[in-house]
Amino acid sequence: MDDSAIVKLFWDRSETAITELSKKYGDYCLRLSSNILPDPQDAEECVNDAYHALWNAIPPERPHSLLAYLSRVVRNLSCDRADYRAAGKRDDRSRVYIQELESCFPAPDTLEDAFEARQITQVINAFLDSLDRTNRIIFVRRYYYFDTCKQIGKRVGLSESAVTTRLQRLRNRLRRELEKEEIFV
Amino acid sequence: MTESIRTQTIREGVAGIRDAYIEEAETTRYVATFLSRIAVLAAAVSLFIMISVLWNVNFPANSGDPVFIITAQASGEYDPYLQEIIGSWLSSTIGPIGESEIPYYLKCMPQDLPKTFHIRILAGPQTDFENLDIYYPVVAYNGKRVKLGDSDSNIEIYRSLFDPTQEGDYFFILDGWFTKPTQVDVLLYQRGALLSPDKLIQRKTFLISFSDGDYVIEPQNDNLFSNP
Repeated sequence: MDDSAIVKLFWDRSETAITELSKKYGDYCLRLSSNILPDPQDAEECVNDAYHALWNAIPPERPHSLLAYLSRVVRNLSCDRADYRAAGKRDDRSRVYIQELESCFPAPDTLEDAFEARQITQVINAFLDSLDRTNRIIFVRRYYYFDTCKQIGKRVGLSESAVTTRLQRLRNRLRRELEKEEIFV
Repeated sequence: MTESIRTQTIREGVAGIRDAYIEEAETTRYVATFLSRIAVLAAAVSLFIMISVLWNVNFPANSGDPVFIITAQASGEYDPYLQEIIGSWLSSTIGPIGESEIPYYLKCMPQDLPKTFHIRILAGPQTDFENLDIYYPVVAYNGKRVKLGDSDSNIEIYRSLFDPTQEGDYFFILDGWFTKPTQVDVLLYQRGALLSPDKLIQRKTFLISFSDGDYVIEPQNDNLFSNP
């Protein structure tokens, strides 16, 4: 079933909407959540919570891309769950990877200078616009989907070490651009 | 800003990545890269073929062609059998051997005896000896080609000395009287395509000259699988 048909089922308040959504994107959601949450049960719960969240959000929402919309919900819920589980620990993958990216962002002198998430999104999108396809996929797979270098390598047909090197270069490039634009977080 | 808030802000910022990029990263699979590798491979093969054509490189007609090693050596031994043949040849081509004629030819030779040039064709280890006769050598004497068994005014190649049923050194003999440095080309062709450049599978050139009263044979090149 295509995405627009699934969205229509949500709008029609049909109970098969969740079934069709799960059939099409169940594995995808579970994979994304499992990248963030080591416990499979936590991951499954988050995916189910995401379905529920979509049921509540559509309508009135009418997502342009169901995949992207769903992935954001799964990602946010999983990250929140990871934060809750971590509670002082610093070993969950999403946190480690985001901290890796954090090193690119210069710290502001005052809180007022700090950019908000919305502004960071603009900066990152502009940065992604400037990348070639492979590098863009590598970046998104790492910091959006929280894939390991090995997983990314399999997807794009590069070795693990090549992906690591490219990520390092991408972060350096992002850092230079952020410094040039005086963007602080 | 505390560390956890920074982390959260950046994480949320990344969450806003364009839908198209999120989809692209999910839907792009290894197959795309695989195809690009195929494209790179195809480009490399095309380039190789193009270079080969430009350089006019010829390859063996069949990948299973045996490799022949052509060597040459001069033998200083007098061979009465060869002398007999040469004598017979002289009588048939020049006429009856007269006392005044024979010394003239013999005088051209450094040691007053026929020199025997063994041009050996050694079959490679993968050679199918039963099918060896699908190849035949052509010798060019000072640029003029002489077929096996044919004779030139100053050179003879003895087919009878070939024994393709026997494994080992296959040699034929150029018997000649050379009074000046002479170039001999040995060309190995596939049968049925006489002197066709694309059927030439091997060529070797030797320069035969004199030094200290003896013949010196020097390989001039080793242009395997190249055009004459």
